[in-house]
Amino acid sequence: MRALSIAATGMLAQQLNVEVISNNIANMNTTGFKRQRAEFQDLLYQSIERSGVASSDQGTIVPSGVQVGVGVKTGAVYRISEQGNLVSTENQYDMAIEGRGYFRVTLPDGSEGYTRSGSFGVSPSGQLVTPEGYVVQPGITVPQNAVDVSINAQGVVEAIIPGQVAPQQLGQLDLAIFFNPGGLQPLGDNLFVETAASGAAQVGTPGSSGYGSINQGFLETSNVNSVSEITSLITAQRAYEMNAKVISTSDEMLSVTSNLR
Amino acid sequence: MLTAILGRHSKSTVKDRLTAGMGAADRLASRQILPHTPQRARKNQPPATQPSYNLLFYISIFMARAVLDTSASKGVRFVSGLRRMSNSILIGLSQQTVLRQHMDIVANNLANLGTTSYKAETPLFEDYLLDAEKGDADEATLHFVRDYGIFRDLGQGKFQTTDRPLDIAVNGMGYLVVETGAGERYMRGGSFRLDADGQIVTPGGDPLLGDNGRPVRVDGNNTDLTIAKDGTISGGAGIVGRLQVVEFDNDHALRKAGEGLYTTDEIPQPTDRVELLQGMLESSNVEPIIEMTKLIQISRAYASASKLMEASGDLTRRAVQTLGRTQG
Repeated sequence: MRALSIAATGMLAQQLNVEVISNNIANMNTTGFKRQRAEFQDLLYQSIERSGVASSDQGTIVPSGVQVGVGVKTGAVYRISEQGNLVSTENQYDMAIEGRGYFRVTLPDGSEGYTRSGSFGVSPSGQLVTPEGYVVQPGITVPQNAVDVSINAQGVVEAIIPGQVAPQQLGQLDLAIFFNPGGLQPLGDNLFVETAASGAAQVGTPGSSGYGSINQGFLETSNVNSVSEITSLITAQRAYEMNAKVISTSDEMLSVTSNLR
Repeated sequence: MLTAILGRHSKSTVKDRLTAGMGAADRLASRQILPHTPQRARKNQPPATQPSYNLLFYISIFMARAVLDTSASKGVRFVSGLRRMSNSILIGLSQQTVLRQHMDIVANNLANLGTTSYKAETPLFEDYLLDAEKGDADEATLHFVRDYGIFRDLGQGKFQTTDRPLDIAVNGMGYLVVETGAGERYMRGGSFRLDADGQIVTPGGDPLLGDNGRPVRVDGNNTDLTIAKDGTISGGAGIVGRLQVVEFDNDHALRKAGEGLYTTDEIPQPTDRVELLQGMLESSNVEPIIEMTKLIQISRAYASASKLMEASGDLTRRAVQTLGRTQG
């Protein structure tokens, strides 16, 4: 009986759906988190009677054959890179990207990681780093005696040093964009690395065409919408139950058969 | 004893009725079988609400008569009656076979409850007529049941807003064209993305074709893609291309190829009659309540077919037992 295995694929799919939703809800307050959505596709079909075959020698044909599907599979789990809200934090090292792009970060193994979460700080040596202590590229070192640091929309970092009239320029942050940001591989800690699916990073100046701009003193909240997540959760749970019902009904039918004698 | 039970009937009348009655059981069985014959109204089809225990009641009467009929001289006729009784089992079997198929289809519909653009399916049944044995004037044809096709509900699924720029829903009976390794396939919208080359691809990685017959390619700096209702894609740096949207003369001739794709031998016609909706997905048009009701119907019909077969088998067994006892 195919119904058993078909319903099992349905249950597995809905289980994954619930997992994705629960991860979204768990990360509701994660800075720069992008919500995910599980995308499902029908599995292949078995032709029992082919459509278009002749049903008589008069040339009449079977208009629609019998094709039985064998269930559902997960097509992809997408990240929806919709802009999250910007909340003011008043922290001078907090940065939010408004628009497209990722901050570049050097990972401990020397490779490059990307993040939307701009809650940065300074290391003991004065370098701009992520909460994990990874250096934000291109490396910017804040002098120890700087009283204030300002970052403009184009990513230019300037420090006010006592005794100097003009602010001292420390460098300019840049952003990386990708053809397919959905193809980036998440590492956890809000970090991503590039993959063949994402395409190569194209580094550019914030605020220029195609790149987002930087907002100092703000953080990008997650783009999880709690109401829609909860309604999806309800739908997923009901769908799970229905598939379970299919299994129990199939089981009933099989037991009817086996009790036939 | 016999007369006491059978009342006014003489032995021979009982036997005649027995054999005739067995034919009638087949007829009843086959009437009972057809769960529904859409698109076909049959004049001799009983109302769908006829409960199956009516049938069981009749069968039990025939059964009692068969058991009581022990005349050795009429044994041959009796056996032929038994043989025809097996028709009831076979008709029941034909019903169970299609019910299992139906169950698979309902299971697939429910499994794809959350599948984008999925279209619900219903099996179509027909009765397969077979002439009953000659010489029995009151015998009609036997109605076996078989499935001859699957009907796809082409109704529009509900639109669900996702706000994702590359989620496309098709409003109307049109299809987007996908280039796969096995040739062109057709798709009713879905969740697309850009691949590393800037092509708009399906979750399976196959590119969508533009109206020039080539994959649509988006330039890297072209952001904030907008897809117009007619399929024109434009970004900050101008128009990128136009998605090809096609329709078919007979949508039912399209076969599902899995992954939301359809395949057909029909010739696609470019169309302007459908519109593309950006940032939306068409959810499946499976109605959970209808599918759950079908689930109940199927399992009940399956059980009642089993009951019928069991009763038939019982009859045969008891008849053989009784026959053996009196003759031995």
